[in-house]
Amino acid sequence: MTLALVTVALLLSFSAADEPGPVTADDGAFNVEIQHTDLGQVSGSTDESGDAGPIRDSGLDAICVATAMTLGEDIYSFCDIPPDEVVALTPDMVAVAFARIAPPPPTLQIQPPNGRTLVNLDTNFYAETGELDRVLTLLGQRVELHIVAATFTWRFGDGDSLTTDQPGSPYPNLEVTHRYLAKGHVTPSVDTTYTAQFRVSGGPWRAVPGSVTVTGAPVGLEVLTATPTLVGYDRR
Amino acid sequence: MARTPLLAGLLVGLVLLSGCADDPEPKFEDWEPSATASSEPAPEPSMPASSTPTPAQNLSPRSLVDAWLTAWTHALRSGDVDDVRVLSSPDCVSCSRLTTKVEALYAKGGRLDTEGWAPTRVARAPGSRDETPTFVMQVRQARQTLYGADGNIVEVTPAATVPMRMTLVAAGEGWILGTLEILE
Repeated sequence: MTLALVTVALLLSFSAADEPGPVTADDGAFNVEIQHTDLGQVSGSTDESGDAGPIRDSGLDAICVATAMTLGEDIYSFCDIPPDEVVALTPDMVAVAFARIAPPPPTLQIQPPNGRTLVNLDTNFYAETGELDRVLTLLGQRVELHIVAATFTWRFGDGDSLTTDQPGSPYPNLEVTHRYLAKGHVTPSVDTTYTAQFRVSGGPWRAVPGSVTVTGAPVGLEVLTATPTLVGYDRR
Repeated sequence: MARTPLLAGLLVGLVLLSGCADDPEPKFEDWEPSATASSEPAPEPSMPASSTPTPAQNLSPRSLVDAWLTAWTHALRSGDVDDVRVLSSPDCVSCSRLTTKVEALYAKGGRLDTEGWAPTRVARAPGSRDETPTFVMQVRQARQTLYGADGNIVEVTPAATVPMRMTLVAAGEGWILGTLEILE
């Protein structure tokens, strides 16, 4: 009797295993089954054709723009999404747009000015950043991007570097300083890493995945030594 | 067996459409999914049975793109994936996953109501080689209603446009789909 019950139970379990499960929403999600290829920075592919300019802030779907640029097509005629079409806008899509509208590099300011400083003097550095908010239209939706300079990596040109979360400030507020220990010509620079938040059609702010680092241009700087020189004497 | 007339009709239609080969630049007009392909009886093949084409025979690479998406639309609407398999390389991983998934859906008793997928603005990709033609396109995926085995709606997916890339490989005297990718 016990054996018969076990046999029946096994048969039932095999039968249950053959039964397909219920239809779920996942059964209709076909795009997930297709290989996804990240075009990344498409400038590489367009550079090969020799006709690539800087990627424009087109206000269009960035993925579509990447596709159009890969094709060598004009992005405006290629990416006209019908207005009655609903396409989900994901943070990853916004991240692609964010990467393609990289903020301008900050301007590196050095004090003392005029490209000269002294050995063993606290040389002051600060960065001036431009407008960091953007409004785009992606997939027919208004997307506001609030871009923040999150970190600054200072390269002083003598092998030393420093990362701060502040851009520094002009004299007399010395926040980012460096002492050169030897005379010579150096080329300091600052790299700025930006993060961003976005909101769609006035909705809640959400974080954009990832960050964008903008490499700053090096600035020439002469590091000089100074010798005390008596220039006057009062004998009274 | 039911797929043979459909495929033959499809191929005949595409061959006829691609017959105007004088124009070096194909006109990439919006292509409407072939709603009649599965809702009406398939047309009788106009060519002799003895010359029933192999899947890729007589199809230009560009026509294969249309043929594959038409076959996929038929698969979505019917669960019959035979034509997709015939037009796909065994090495096309995305193709295999798609056919497996749609087969599983219909095996569960589910079904889909959709106008299917259609290419828009198809263009030859830069770097495309003659031996492996590559096309980049926007694929318009029509609104899709998923029904469960009980006939109730499980989910409605709105229409979408997805950038895709198709790379073809030679098969006999024609072409089949070798790689299907979504571009991100």
